[in-house]
Amino acid sequence: MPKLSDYTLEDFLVDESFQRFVRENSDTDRVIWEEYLRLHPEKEATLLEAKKIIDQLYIKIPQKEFQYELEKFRSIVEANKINVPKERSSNRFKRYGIAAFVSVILLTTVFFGLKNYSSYSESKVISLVERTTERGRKSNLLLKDSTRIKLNAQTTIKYAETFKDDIREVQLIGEAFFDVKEDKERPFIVHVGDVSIKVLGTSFNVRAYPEENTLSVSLVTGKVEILKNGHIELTLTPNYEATLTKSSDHLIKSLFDPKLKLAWKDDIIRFEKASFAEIVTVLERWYDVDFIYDKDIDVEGFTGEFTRMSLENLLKGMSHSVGFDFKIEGRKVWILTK
Amino acid sequence: MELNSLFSVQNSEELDSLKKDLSIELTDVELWNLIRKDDSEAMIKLYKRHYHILYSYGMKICRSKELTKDCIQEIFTNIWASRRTLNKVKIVRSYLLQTLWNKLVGELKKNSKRNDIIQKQVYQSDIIFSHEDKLIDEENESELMKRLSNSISSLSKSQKEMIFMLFYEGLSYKQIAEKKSVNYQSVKNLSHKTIKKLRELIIMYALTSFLLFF
Repeated sequence: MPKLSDYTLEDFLVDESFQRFVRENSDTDRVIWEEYLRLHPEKEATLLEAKKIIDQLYIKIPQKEFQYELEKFRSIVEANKINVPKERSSNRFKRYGIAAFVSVILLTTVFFGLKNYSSYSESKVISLVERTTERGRKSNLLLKDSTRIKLNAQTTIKYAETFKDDIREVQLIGEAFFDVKEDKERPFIVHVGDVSIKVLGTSFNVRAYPEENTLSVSLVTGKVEILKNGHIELTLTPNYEATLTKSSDHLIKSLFDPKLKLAWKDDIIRFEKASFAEIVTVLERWYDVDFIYDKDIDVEGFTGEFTRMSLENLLKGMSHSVGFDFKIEGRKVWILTK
Repeated sequence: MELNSLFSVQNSEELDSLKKDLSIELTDVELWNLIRKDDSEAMIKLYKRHYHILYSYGMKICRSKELTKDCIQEIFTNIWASRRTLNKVKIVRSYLLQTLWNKLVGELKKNSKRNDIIQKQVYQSDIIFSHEDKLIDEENESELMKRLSNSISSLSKSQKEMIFMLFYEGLSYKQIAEKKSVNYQSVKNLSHKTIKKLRELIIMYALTSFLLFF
């Protein structure tokens, strides 16, 4: 390698860093060659000629487009980090072994978790029923006591196959609308973490997604009691909802808008002054997609209503008023800010 | 390797991770080996390092932005998806360029009626600066660019190949000498001649563009 101060045209041309500097204009390389010019101003003409020649040899991609492609790839890599398909069968056994182990742990957790929640911790055999809706799905349940439950997407509910004589208990993760069959002898209790909702006969909505900061119980008819760690904290009457902010552990009572809160069970997506992050959370769940977007995207409270609409049409509608471009590829949605 | 003696490292694996900790720039082959061990950072690094070259090369072949981007994305995605079963590769960039070439030609064959032309092309240098046989429409190209491509295509085959190895594969003189089984000095000589020719062409190009403006 010749000394930098002796660089000829040819030396510049075949220098990897110099090639990269012209081709990609990366910060690190630019700093090097700018500094070089400062130290060797006599080389400017040669350097510029070398730059001109190399410029002709490459077709460059605009920086913005490259960043977009890179982000796309980054998310592909992230998404496929764990589940590597292996080709040798011996490895497969190992994998199933781990899967079995994990599910045993999970089952144990569920079992002990349940013991903590409920009053039947003494009973030895609990036959649990578990229903889960994936993202993009909803489902209806009819329990043996004629209680109807509608599960929103990405929700899990667990309950004993046969309710006890004196109590009906379910555990919920996610969002569900309950229409509880009245039975004065057997209260119906929904457990969400250390919060319990105790009712006799009534209809109400519970929204308790673990990834969200608030948990809310919205009462439509009847009467419910909200208990925390076994103590009654609040009593709700129709049109009121209880909201627990998880970070502050603060429980408040307020009126709610049933059109907004209960829209999901009629297959309506409704936003009111929603931030982009809120919109994304709802749509990801609803359509089973992942959004890739600039966290700085600025939406000043989006309000809108969409009834049984394809994701593409919905986004088309939104993109005009909010001002973004989008691209749907399989289960991924790219949002490009204009 | 200096690091070896410096830290008395036992094997190359240890050295790789040591270099990583010290954030010393890893070579392509080192990145490649880390990818085989599920290192997603290494995967992103490799992507960043070679994307621009692949893009440029792809564009020279097919002149379609979308097709080029899609093919590049697919190549890297495939590498990541099959990382546990990847073969060892000697020169990563050459491997990537070759893969892109195969992929693009496959795509073009699918979509083009001009099979004859595509089949005539061989991997690497020919395609890069041959103007006459360009595969896809050239209406978007400026008159100046056409002139330049024309003049570059007047380089000899070995000169074009030299340009490809130097500016696309990013090989050093030593590597080129090994690859072509010729001695170092003759590589240097050819490089010198090629660059001289290239320079003349560029000057000619600058002159024509000057004339065109007036």
